[in-house]
Amino acid sequence: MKRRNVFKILIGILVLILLLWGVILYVYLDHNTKSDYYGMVYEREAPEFTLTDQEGAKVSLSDFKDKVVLLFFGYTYCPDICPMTMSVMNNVVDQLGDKADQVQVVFVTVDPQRDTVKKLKSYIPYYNENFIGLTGTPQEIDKVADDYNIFYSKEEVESSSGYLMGHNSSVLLITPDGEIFLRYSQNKMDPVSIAADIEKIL
Amino acid sequence: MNKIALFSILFFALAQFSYAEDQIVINDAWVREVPPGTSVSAVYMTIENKGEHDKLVSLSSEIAESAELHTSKVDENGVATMEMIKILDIPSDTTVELEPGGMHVMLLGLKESLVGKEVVNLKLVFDKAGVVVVEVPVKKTGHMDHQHHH
Repeated sequence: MKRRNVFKILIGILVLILLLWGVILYVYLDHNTKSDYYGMVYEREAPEFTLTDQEGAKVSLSDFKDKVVLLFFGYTYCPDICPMTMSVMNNVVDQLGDKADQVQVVFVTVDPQRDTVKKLKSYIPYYNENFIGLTGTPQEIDKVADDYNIFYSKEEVESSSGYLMGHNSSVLLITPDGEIFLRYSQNKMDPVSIAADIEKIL
Repeated sequence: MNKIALFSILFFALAQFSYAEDQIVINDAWVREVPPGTSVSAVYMTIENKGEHDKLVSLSSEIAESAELHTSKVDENGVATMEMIKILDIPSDTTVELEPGGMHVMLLGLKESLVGKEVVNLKLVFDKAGVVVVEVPVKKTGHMDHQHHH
């Protein structure tokens, strides 16, 4: 009889501990999975790179140490997605008002064959004088894209365009301390929400 | 003499009733203004087919060397690609939307800059409805608050 009671109490305690553990785990996981950000949390160190901008000058990621960098890959021969992204970036910057100078928008071409320094010079400032467009040798572009997990490839479309590029069209948000913190895919291109994320970080 | 007159009347009468604008209605057309020197752009619109099942078979514009129907696709990994649509089926009483990030008319080999232009023309050829010509307004997207002149 006595033994049975002790057994019952032990089972009871065990159940209680398990329940408590469950509650703790639930609260912990819930807190961690619910992001306060619009962008997808990425959290990875941003690899350093050096490429050539639209003025022909060498530019490195580390040049923007005190800024939030919005980095994306594209090409100027792109009629739809890339101009759309450019416009969104412009609207984000507009949303930020006074804080706009703490953000650097950086466009890296995945089509260095056509996107020369001269080409970028006629393309980038049209959207915004403060944006930076980067190009380099095919090897240099390859390395940066690879470091950032950006897939791209030449697409031989059955069209008179010669070729188009397939490419990862996400925008990466790099924090002032050099971390790829957030990622915005094409279905997350609301300028107001992106600007709100940036304000939280600044 | 009478025959010719009769034929003429018949011809004009038929021309009034037939085709194009009546069956196919194009709305909200616009073309994206792109930086000078850029050779490609995209036209967006809605195409409403009020008539019988039809097909969009070809496109052209005076401003570009060629015009093609493409669709942008973004896969689950965020990779954007484009596919060419050679012939677009438009069943009767349906509306097809061409919008940013999706289907669009790609203009290739722009002959002049779109900057400063009000409209460009676009010719759409339908299998049954025939030729439809649209005046497409040029639209600037995104803000240019930081633009300065040198």
